Amino acid sequence: MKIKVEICLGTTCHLMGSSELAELEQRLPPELTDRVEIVGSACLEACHHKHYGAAPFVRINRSDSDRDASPQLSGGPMLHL
Amino acid sequence: MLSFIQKQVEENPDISARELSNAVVRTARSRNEKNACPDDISCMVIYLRKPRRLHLLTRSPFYKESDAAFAELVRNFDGKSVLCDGTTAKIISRELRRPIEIDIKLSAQCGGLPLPAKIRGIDLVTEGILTLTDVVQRIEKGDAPVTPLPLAARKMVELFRNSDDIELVVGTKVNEAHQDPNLPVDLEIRRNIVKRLKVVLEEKYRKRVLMRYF
Repeated sequence: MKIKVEICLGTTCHLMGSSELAELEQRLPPELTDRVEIVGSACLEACHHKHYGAAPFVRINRSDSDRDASPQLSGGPMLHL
Repeated sequence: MLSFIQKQVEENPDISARELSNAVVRTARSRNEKNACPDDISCMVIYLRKPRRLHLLTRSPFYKESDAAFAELVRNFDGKSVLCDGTTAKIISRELRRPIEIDIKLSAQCGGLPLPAKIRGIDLVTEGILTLTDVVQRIEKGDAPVTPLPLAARKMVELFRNSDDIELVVGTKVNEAHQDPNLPVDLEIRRNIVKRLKVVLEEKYRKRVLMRYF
């Protein structure tokens, strides 16, 4: 299964450089391009939760149970870059 | 001149007053030697039609319980819908059960603004405060910008131009993420930028603008 990487494109993350993260796809080493899917997110809302640290945020492999649950970030590893 | 106008309208029945007056003035000039304009050229075009409606939703409702009613505004709206804020987009996406899609391959066209997103049935979905500020500054400054606009701003300006009745729906919940003094720019309070948008749309674009808080 592909590893899904969601890049937050909300205001705070954008200001802190997430638009440069959006170019990540072009910089992936060839052996990873088939294994990684990179998508944008309107806002991961991670900046509303201090314990996640500071923007910009990406989320890796959100599970299906999170997707159905609530708009809050209820799990899934959150990476601060 | 009459036959020129008739031909324009025949070829493009929905041509806007702005486009038609531009075409008339341009053609009048082109008939002169060297495209010169020795005297004034003025052209007024009046287009009579049923007002085209657009509403723009930004920020989140003050009470979470109002999210469903907020989304119903979009579901039932008879006109174009613009969502201008990531959290607003998430609320509408969740309540209407329509996913948000963002094509990050468009990032070359984003021109310094966050990329617009897509939700089925919504005409434009953008980030909030940076995009709104950019749009307001551009339309306050000039009418037809010559430099290419960032994707999100260009689409929003086009939608405003092609609407007559515009409703600005502003959620009143405070976005705590924007209160951080370490952020690199002043994030202007959204209500102020929306007020500036209302003024410029009314006074410069002659739109009928209604504002409501949610």
